[in-house]
Amino acid sequence: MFNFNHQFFYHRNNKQPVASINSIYCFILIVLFNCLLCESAQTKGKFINKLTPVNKIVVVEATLDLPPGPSKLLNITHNEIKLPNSTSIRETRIISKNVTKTSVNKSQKSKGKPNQVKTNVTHVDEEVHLISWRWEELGNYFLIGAFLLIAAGVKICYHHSHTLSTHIPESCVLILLGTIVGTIFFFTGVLESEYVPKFNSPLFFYVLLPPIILESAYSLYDKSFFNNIGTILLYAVVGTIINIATIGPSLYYCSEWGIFGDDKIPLIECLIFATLISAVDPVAVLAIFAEVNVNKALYFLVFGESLLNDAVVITMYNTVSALAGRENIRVTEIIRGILSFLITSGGGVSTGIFLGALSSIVTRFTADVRVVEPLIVIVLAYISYIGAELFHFSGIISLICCGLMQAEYTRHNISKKSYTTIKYLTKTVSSIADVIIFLFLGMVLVRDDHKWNTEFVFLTTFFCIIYRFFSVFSLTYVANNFFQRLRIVNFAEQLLMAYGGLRGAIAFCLAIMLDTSKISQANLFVTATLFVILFTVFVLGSTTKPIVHFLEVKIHIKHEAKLFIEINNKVVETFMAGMEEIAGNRSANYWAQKFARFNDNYVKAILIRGGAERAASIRTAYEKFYQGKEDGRILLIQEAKTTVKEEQETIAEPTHSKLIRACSDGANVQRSNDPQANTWKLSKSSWYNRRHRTLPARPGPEPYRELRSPKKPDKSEDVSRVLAEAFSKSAYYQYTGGIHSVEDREDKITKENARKSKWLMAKSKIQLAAIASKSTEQGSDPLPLHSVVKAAKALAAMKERQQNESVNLDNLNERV
Amino acid sequence: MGSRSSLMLQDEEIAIIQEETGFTPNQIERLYSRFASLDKGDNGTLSRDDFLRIPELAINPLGDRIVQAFFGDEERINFRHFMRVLSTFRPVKKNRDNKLNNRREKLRFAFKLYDLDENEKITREELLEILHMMVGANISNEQLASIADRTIMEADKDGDQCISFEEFCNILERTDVEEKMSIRFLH
Repeated sequence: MFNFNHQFFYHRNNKQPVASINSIYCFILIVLFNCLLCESAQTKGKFINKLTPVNKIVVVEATLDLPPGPSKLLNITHNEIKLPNSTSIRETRIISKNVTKTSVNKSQKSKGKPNQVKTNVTHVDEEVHLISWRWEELGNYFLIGAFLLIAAGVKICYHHSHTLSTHIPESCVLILLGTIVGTIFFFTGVLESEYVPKFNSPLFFYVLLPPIILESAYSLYDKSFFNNIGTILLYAVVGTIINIATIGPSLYYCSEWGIFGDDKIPLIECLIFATLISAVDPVAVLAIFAEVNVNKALYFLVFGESLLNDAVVITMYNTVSALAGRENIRVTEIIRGILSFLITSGGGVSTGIFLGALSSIVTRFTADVRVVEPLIVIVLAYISYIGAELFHFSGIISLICCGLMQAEYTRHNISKKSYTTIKYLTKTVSSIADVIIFLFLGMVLVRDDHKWNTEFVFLTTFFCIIYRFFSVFSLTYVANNFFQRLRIVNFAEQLLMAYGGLRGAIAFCLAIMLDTSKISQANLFVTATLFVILFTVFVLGSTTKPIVHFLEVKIHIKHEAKLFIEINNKVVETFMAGMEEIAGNRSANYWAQKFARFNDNYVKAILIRGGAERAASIRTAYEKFYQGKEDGRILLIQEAKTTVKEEQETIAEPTHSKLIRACSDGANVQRSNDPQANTWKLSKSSWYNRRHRTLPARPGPEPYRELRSPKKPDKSEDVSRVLAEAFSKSAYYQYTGGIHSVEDREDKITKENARKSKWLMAKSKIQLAAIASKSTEQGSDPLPLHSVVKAAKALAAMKERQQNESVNLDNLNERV
Repeated sequence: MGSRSSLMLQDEEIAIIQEETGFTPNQIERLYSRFASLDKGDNGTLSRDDFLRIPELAINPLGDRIVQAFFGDEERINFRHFMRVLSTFRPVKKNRDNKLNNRREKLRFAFKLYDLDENEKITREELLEILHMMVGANISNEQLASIADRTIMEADKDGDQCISFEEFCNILERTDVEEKMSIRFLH
């Protein structure tokens, strides 16, 4: 017996096949067929249609069991083939997609007649073919789509129902909904259907979790996070270990004392359970803390902690569960466990950094192919996760590092549109992933292998809360007193942090991953985990908001706050930036400062397009500028300015306004940031006067009074918005890239802009110096007004050329 | 630089400064080396020029206000003066009350940024000027004027069209300005 894959060719359009074509097919078929049949019994053959355009042909593949020995009794007509006796048909399969129905008549086989395979191919024309049902092929995909749609729908409904969204956290609603769906599925038995998507750990860890982590990593990129990174790591690493090391043994001793009945739980199982139950869930925490709108520092403490805590928990979990099921654990194995923990996290960090850097390098070359940018960024981020997991490193740590790298470097290489695309894509996907996780969580609640043990469940919950409070308070004490924190984490915030230890999807997923063959109490653990999740999400989660109000935790101040506060914030930020510069104390510690310099000089040069030459050109411009100070050029400019001031009083109004117009175009950078002007040695009163003068848009203090009276202060437009925009547009903020602005994480100006304006500023200063020095070389002792006007005009022109990078700075320098 | 400068700084001087400002000896030495590195003329005092040589400060829109805040009426400042000004920006710590770096002192410093003529009032003109410095030409004069009007209106309680120091403190009452106005000095 041998298998034979036989393909029949039919002309589809004609019921009566064109004789010539058909006979050729048949001929070839028969020839091939016979050749093969004559060969040895082991031969397997397969005919592949290479003869005609496929759309004209209906291909049916049949696997036949032919009797041994040569046989030439095949008889093929256009829709019927006669096979030799005792041939059985294993299977038939339609290869061509255009066929709707094929029936193979097997009935005659038993009668010992020559086996007739009737392939009743229905030759259907297009118009009848319009409607067909292909659930088998597409049902899975359709259900996935439908599921996503439901998830989005739930979100819409939640946010439209006002009472719901003000009182109950979103995660609770989703879990409830999932429970309802789960109950329906459970009792209708739909759960067994192969089409219903199932929740399993690969789906969670490789599909749903990465977008959430990536989105979180992008939003971690904030000054508040980096300011608090030491404290966050303290909470995430030490805090988690404290939790594990206290919950595990506590449960173990409780079990030894027989509190949980006769079942004794081994220590290692207790530790595994303690590990998974220590996973504070960023999804649940974020969902609630974002709604509550606490102040930024607290938000990042909780957010950073919950995110990094997962990475710690998952690596710990892998380490500890590797030790499970062993009879006796030796010290070397524990050391190996600790080592593997370090390697897992270290490997995660390096993988993330490597792929983050790779994505920056790749995007350096995408200036002409902007469309691929989002793809590159997102796919490389995903690969950093999967790649780290490949080596058993921590995917979460890797993805966080990669995301932060991308936010720091890659962002400057990609276009604004790509940036928006990536931002919203990750946001959308991660929010849908959130919804799906909670829905699934609710669905999985309804199952029949729960093992309820009241003492165990309640004690677990109790321990979780107590030890969380303990670790938060003790670690905050350490952080407040031994770290150089500017901002003391106060009691209310500590309380809220401890309170915010919500358990969620990670704990749940690790729990259902437990291997029942190794861990005797797996079912008990799953039940307890689900209870803790529900308790924390429902009870703690929904009471967080009232507690925030009760404790009067500082709320994140939004833009509806007073105008003056906003102005003052900017003033203070700008001012403090200068102060820190004077104190030589830009960043919290020496190494951070070293790193910042290294980052600016080398890393950015490599990873950001054009980073190198731009940085260099700015530096040379500055060097030139400050050297210029020595040979008196700066003084010239000062003189030029005093002349302007003096002549202002005498010149006629038209000339004056002309000057002002010219100045106000180009010299706004010059005006407020002008360092040369600062070197004047002036008495206080003249200093004050100079301030007025250096705002060229007004000749003196008088016009203000005119301005004030007729102007209605109230315009319909949002003054505060205008102001915020103006701040962000001002040269200094462009230069600092909004680093000193804490408010607008959302629309931080790109560093590219900052560089451009820094460069431009340097250029314009040099230009002004050049013109000033030239005009004095020509002779006349007081600088004539027209040359200053020329300088100002040149500055205005410079601004127009802002986009035109072709103006080579070096040429400019030579001219100077 | 560090070793040389610490040699030049006498122990009793450190003690005096420590007493006065609350900085630790380490911080004082570190800041002294910064002071020395700013002091291009090596004459133990800093001039306005020395400050403005710092590139970041030169482009800071409030650069000359900062310098003014440091110098006041003086032409040159010595290290003790330098430290006194900086000590305003030490973080506020509970239990360790210091007269130089409490919230009110910080606010006083911020207030002086606006109040140029030192008449204890921020006038509309002074506010407009600060705004001008901050935003450059990105906003029209009319808009700026309307912003200034609004701001004064918000803060002004006694109706004199100016913001006094008390009004200033009141309006910033619920902000974390003391955190913002703190520098993490290295130990």
